[in-house]
Amino acid sequence: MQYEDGVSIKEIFYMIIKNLRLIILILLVFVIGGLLYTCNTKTVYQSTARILVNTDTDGIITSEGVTLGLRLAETIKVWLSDEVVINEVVNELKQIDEKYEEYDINRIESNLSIDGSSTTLFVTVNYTDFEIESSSLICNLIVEKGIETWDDKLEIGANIETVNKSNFFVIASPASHAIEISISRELYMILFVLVGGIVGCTVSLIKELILNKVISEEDLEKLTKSNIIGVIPEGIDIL
Amino acid sequence: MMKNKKEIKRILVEEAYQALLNNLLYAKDNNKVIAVTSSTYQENKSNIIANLSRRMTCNDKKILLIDCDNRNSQIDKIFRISNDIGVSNLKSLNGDYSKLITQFKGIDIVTSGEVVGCPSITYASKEFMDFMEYSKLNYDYILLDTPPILDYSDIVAVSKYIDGILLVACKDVTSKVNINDAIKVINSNNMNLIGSIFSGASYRK
Repeated sequence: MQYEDGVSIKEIFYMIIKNLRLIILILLVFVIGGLLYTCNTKTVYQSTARILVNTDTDGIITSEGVTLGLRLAETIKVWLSDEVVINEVVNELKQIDEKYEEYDINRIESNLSIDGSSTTLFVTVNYTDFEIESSSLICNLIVEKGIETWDDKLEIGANIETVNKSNFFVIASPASHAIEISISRELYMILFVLVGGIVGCTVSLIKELILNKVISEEDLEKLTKSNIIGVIPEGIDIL
Repeated sequence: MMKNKKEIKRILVEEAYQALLNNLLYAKDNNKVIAVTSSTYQENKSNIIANLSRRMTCNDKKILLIDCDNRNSQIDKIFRISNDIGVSNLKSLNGDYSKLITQFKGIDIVTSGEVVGCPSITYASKEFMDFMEYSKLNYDYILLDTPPILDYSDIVAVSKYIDGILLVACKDVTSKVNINDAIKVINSNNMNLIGSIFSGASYRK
């Protein structure tokens, strides 16, 4: 006689039905956890500004010019997150409003990301903040201070890049209106419900498949409703 | 002299079988034909019945041990005896049971014989009925090693000859669901569950 190994879908379904209470309980825990999490989660906004490094000073695009532009774009990417620029931004912020007193170099650095591939003349500056206005303001300040503090000679780490400003156009767009980038609360709740359901089903299946063995005489007595007339220890097969 | 661990374990196992035997012999009902079964395989059923029959002979009882698990016979392997002629050959023996029964240290053993397609037909045959009648007259106890109750329905075919059933469950092997299902089968066929045997128990310190 051939037997099918494993558990059929029908059996899994019955196991889930049998443990419905446990699944609902786990689901409730996740829903409550989800509610608490979403209530305590602040919305995050992001502003973006773009810088175009243009080497086309007289309207003629040359491969040499583009190569120089790409190199300069790479340098600007590093320069914008340099301590000199960020420090300027922090000082400026403190003059604008008292609420920016708590903003320091570390905070701005951790919320700043500067993108741009090595094959493009664009440098993208992203700044995230819990306040919509602060996000745009700081993003703009980083670009502004970055260009302002840029000397013809850029010192970045051990490298010194000599750049003649007059040979380049640096076109910076104003920071976009900040957009919400954190996942919405509804989405969080759906995720928590889904994860709760999956965890509940998994726990109930594990309980049924692994923890559903007879492990004691009491177990057997309860199940058979009959006397245990013998308890044979493990290990030795005497005769 | 200090006994080593293995010797102590051996004594404990022997005592466990003696306790099982005592419970069985001094049970209220007089169960002469006893079937030992389990819910599925790998629950140490055949080993338990072999040891039980061995202990019974020590108590001066005349014992017949019949292997009714034709598909997965273990009794011949445990006692290291031939399985050429067994229960499945009853028809061809024409009532000559001397060829069927093998003696081993005081136990009369009938092996399952060659594997047949449907052993239930053998157990439902007139030849098997006659053999059981003969056995009841000549032995104090008849022990039947039957296939797992949830895997094969052979026990239903032999149920008319048996006075009671012993259900074996093995620690960490037998599932609760299987025990429930086995009890349902036993009850629905009006079989008498004498009691259960818990095998694979840990040693108490």
